[in-house]
Amino acid sequence: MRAPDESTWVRQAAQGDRDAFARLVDLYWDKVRRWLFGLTGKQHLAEDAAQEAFLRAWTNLPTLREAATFRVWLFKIAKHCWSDARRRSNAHPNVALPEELPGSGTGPLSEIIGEEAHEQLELALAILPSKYRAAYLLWTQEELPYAEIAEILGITEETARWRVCKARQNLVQAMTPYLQAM
Amino acid sequence: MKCREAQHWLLTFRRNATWPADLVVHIQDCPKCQKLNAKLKQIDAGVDTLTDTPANPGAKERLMQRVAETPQVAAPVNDAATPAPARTPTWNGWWVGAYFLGAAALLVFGFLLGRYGEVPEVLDPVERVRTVVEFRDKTVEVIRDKMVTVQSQADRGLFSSLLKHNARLVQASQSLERLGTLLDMADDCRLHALTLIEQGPRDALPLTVGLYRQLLRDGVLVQVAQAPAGDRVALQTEARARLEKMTTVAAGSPSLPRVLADQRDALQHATHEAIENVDRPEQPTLASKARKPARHEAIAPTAALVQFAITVSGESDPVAKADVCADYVQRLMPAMQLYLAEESVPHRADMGQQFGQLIQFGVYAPLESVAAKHPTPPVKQETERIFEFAGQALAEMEKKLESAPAEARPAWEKAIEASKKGFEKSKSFSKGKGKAFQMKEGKGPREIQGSIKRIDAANGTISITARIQGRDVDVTYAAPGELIAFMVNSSKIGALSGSEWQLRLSDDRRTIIEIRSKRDPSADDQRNQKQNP
Repeated sequence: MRAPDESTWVRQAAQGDRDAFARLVDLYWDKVRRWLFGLTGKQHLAEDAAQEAFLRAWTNLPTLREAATFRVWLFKIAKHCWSDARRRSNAHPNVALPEELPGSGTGPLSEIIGEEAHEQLELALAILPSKYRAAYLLWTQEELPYAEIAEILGITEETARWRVCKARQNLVQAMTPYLQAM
Repeated sequence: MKCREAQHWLLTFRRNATWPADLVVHIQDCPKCQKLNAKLKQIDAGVDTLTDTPANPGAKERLMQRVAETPQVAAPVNDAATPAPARTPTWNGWWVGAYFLGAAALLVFGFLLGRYGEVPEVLDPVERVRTVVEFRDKTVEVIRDKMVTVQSQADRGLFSSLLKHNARLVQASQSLERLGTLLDMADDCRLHALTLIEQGPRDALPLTVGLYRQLLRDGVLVQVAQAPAGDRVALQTEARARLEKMTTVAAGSPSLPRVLADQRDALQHATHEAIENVDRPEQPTLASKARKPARHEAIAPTAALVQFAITVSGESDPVAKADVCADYVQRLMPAMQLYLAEESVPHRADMGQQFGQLIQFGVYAPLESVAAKHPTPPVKQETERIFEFAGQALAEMEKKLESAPAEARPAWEKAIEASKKGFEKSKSFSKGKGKAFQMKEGKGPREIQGSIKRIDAANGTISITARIQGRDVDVTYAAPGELIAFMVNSSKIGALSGSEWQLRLSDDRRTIIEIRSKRDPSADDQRNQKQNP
C-alpha cells in the first residue's frame, strides 16, 4: 500500500526538499533494507547497499519523470547497488544466512514451523538461486504485483511469475521433511 | 480442476487474493493439494519472519547526513527541445578504422578494469522507468470451462441478499407477495449499483444496472400484467408507490464522471419506464418467455439468481419453469460451493437452506404439480428428464457434504435436507402412476435401461425398475405390439429377467438391435461349475 502523499513528497524531493525525501526514506527504508537483507544474507551489507540506493535516488531524483513510478525506480536502483556490492566483494550469491539472525531461536518463526524447520528454511532460502529469491521476496514481503517485479528485475511479467513459482516450488521441496503435520 | 492446474494457482496466487471457485472446491477434495497449501502457508509465514530483522537506528541518520551533504543532479533538458546536431556523412575509410580501433581498445580496457581493478563509484545512469500501472491479479473462476471474473466482496453481499429473496419468492403463494419480493430484489440491485457508483469497484456496475432493469421489466411488470383483473389495481398501486420511492432516492452526487453519471441515469430511466408501464399491463413487450441459456454461455451468479426469480414468478408452464430453474440451480452450484467454503461469509447455514429451498420449490414443486395432473407421455418424459437433471444437483451436494470442511457442513446439510423434501414429494410421478410412456412408431426413447419387472402383452406395456439417483423407480413403457411380442417370446429377454440390462431399439422402435446386460459374476461361476463339474 502506498502512502497517499507519496507522489507529492517525490515531487518536492525532486526539487531539493530534504524533509520530503526524509519522509520517503521513512516510508521505504525498511522495505528496501529488508529485501536487500534477503538477497545478501548479511545485515551490514544490506544496510550499506540500502544507504547507497537511497543516496543515488536522492542525487538522481530530479531526473525521475513520473512520481508514481518512484517505488519501482527505487527498487531498481537497490538492485543495481546489490549487483555492485556483489561485484565488489566478489561474493557468491548463494551466501548462507548468518546463524545469529535476530529471528533465530525460539520466537514467532519457531512457533510457526518449529526449531529444526527454522534452520532448514534459512538454508533453503540461502541456496535458492538469487534470481528466484529476488522475485520471490518482492512478491511475498513487499506484495508487489508481477508487473512491478518484472519492471524492477528487467524481465517479462511471465518470467516474474515463473520465478516466484519456481522459488516456492524449491522451498516446498527443501522444507517438506521439516514442516509440521505434513 | 486437476491437481496440476490447482498447484500452479497455489504457487502463483497470493493468499489474500480471491481464489477461483474451482480451486477452492478442488482443495477441499484433494488431500495432496491441501498439504501443498498448508506447506506454502507455513513457508511464506516463516520467510516473512526470517527476514524481518530490526533495523539499525543509526543507519538512517547516517544516510540523512550524507543526503544533506550531497547535491542533486540538474533536471534533464527536454530532449525534444534541443535536438542533437545532425551529423554530416563525410566519413572516409581512415576515420572509420580509427573509430572501431578506439572502441575495441575501450572494450578491452573496460574488461580488464572490471576483472582486476576496483570498480569505480560510478552512479548508474538514471533509469528511464516507463509508467507502471499498479493492478491486482485478475481473479477468475472456471465454470463449465469458461473463465469468468470472481465477484467482489460487495457483489457477494448482493448475491446473498438475492438468494434470500429468491427463497422467499419460491414460497410465495400470492401475487402481491411475489410482487413485493421482486421489488425488494430490484431495490437491492439499485442500491448496490449506487454504492458501486460512489465507492466502486465498478466492474460489475453495468451488469447490476442491467439486472435492475430486467427485474422491473420482466419481473415486476410481468407480475402486474399476469395478475387477475380483480387483484391488478392493488398490485399497480403497490408497484407505483414503491417505484416512486426509488426515484426519489436515486438522485445522487451531481459531480460524477460522465461514465458513472450515465449509469446512474440508466437506473433512473429504468425506474421511470417501469412507472409509465405499470398502468399499461396490456403492453405486449411485458411478458417474456423463460429462456434457458446456451450451455456454453457463462452467467454471473447474481444474474443467475435474477433469471431464476423472473422464471419462478413469471413462467406459467410448470415444466418450462422447472426446466429453466433446474438449469440455473446447476449454474449456481460453483458459486454456492465457493461461498459456503469461505469463513468470511456470514449466515452460511441460512444460505445453504435457502439454496435447498430454491431446488425444493423452484424445481420439484412444479414437477409435482405436473405429475398430479396425469400428464401426456411426452410431458411425463420431459418431467422425468428434469427430475433426473435436478437429482444431479442433489447428488453433487451429497458428494460435497462428504468432503466439505466442518464449518460448511451445516449449510450443505440444510441445502440437502430442503432439496430432499422436494425430491420425495415429486418422485411419485416416476412410480408408475399416470399413463405409461408411449412408444409409437419412430417415437419414444431409443434406449431402455433397468431390471425387467413385467411384460404385459395384453396391455402392450413393459414395466421396469430403473435406478435413478440411488433409488429404485418403477417406469412403465407402452410399446408397439411387435416389440412386446418379441420380448415375450425371446429367450434372451427371458434370461435377462431380474438382472440389469439395457435395450437399444431401432429407429422405428419395432426391433431390439442391441442387448447389454450386467451379469452377476457369481451366477456365471455357478453356471461354469455346473457345466464343468
